Amino acid sequence: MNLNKNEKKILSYIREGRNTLADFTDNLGISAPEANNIAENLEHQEFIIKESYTGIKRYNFLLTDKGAKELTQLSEIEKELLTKESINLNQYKILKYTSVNPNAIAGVIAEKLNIPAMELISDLRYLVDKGLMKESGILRRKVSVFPKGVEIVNNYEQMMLQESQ
Amino acid sequence: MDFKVFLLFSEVVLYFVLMVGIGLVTKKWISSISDFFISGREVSAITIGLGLSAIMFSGATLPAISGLAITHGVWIGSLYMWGWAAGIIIFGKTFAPAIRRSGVYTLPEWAQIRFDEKTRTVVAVATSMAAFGSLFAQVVGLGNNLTALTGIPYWATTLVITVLCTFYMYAGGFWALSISDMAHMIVIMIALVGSVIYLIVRFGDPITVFSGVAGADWRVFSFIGKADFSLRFPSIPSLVFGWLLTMLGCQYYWMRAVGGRSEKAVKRGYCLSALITCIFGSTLLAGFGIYALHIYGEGNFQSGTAFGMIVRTLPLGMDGLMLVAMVAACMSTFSTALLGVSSPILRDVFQRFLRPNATAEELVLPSRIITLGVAAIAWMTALLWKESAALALAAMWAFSVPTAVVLVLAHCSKRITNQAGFLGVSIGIIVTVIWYFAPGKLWAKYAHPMWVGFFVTLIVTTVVTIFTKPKFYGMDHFNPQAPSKMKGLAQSNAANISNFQTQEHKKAMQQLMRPSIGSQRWKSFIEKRHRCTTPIAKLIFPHIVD
Repeated sequence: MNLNKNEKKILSYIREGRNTLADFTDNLGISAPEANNIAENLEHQEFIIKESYTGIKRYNFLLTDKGAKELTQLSEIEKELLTKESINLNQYKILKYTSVNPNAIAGVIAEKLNIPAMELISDLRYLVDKGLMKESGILRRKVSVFPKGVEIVNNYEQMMLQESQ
Repeated sequence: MDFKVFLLFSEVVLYFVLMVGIGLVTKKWISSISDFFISGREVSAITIGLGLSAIMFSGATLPAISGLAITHGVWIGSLYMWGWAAGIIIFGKTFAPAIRRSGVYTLPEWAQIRFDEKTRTVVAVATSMAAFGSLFAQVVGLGNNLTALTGIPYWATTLVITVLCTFYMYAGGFWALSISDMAHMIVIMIALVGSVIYLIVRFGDPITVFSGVAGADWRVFSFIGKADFSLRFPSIPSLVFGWLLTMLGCQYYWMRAVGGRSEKAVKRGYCLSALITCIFGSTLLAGFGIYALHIYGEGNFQSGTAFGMIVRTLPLGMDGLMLVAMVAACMSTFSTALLGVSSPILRDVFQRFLRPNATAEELVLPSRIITLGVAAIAWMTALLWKESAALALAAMWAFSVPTAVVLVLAHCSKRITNQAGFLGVSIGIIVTVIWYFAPGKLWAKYAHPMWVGFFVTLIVTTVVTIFTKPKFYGMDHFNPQAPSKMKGLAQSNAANISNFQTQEHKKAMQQLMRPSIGSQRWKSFIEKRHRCTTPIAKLIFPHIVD
């Protein structure tokens, strides 16, 4: 099946749990109608489905078996993180950075880790929802990692080192 | 210049300097269109709450509520704000999280997602017109207030205020709007509370004043007062449902949801704004009308000027603070409406038709230029058609309601078709505008235009839906695929996320229900009765328990 770059990206976002239309829009850096067109096209081809067709879950997408087969291969460490902790590599990096820099401002994290600002927003939303991080700050968003997140960072540190070598 | 005028000026100028400072600070935070229009989706619950409340405290609201207390009774004056608060809670709990999740920047973008490009165009025109009506009315309101209080010519006061607001909006976009709105609301709250304390100390406690005021039997001791259950304005149905219908179809109520840092922050922010407006804007503002009656006597002033009459009684310094609060109230709505007009123009016209491939960074300058242009047009309109301000404000309702009706129907039903969405909004707006301008003031005699827009749109959308073909997922035979249960997918773990949230809520609930005083035995007794206390907590803190 010939899927284009953005279609493949959307499938991988859903695999990682960033499965809302806002996630697609922020990660791909395109407008919501454009992201919706891509998602509806994938839906027509039965790669994905909407979680519901009314209400708030209308903007949530799930992979079908057909869509899951089209996913790109992951490295060992990525597979491990996703299967056991349900996070991706970028999210691991965010956890690691914030574990040594508590109350880090979102904009600074994006700059330090070289992640596009809107992509970071989507990752942070996911990590906060998973209970690995907490956010604070009345004006700029500040994030800190919970002990559960620190535990993940420590568990995979050795593996990350081996991977980089 | 006497000392009083000097003090008034100083307080206003000091406030203006603060606004310029906010513009300069937030300018550094803008690097892309997402920063300019949605603050990079970073806005916190407190900022959302104060910002939304600031919209409600406009130049028209302050005198309107005090005036309504005199003409229709104190509870009807309060209902003006309670209706808004109820609307914002429904919006915040039902629609705002969905808007945040949809990833849109503007209401017309949502129209394209759910329907098609044609509907997006119609909604873009409608929402821009609605926000422009409010923008124009705020310029006129600000100009009139400042001219009346300072004697400076109208053209100069409107120019100063337009330049100032446009400066910080040009520099900091939604960031400047969010922070300036916080400042506006803090000033408004301090000024209102200060004035109430002064009135109580100087003229007597509310119980004595309220019960002794002329017409206390219907103004204070009747919940309905002189209001009725018709479809005119102000009637009880109009005050209860009108705001919800307006805010659902208005871009600047959407912006707060779009810019929220999470769905939770959005929900909390909307509920917080309801709380703030109920405390500071309902009976408290209506009470100003009753105090004005008590101080000046019935028939000695017009009901619409009751708020101004109270300001005149305030002592030196406090009157300046109240003037700043009135200016802040107008500025907050002006700035919000300014962004409410410029964001659809940028996203739904400029970017869509002229620069579809522009990057987020490249669109910052056009966003600023469009904001500048819109402000200039609003100022010129306010100079040329000053008398049409009330009509312009009413246009906000006319252009918002049809979109709101279609939004609600589409949110709840997958069957609503593209043609139904397009025709529902278009015909709804056309009929509402005709109702406004029809000879014989039909809107005053029979029904407020928002009701016409509501019923026409509801009927047209429903009928057209029955006779047209829905999208593939709206067809009767549509049978979606099952989600994959393959290992290694986050959706296989979705249940875990949901479980975690349930556990967190349960912990918060237990914490909430734990008594802070009493013996250990009493605390343990209460905690063990969790099952009994949950329904009560659910009633008071539904956002935590649900």
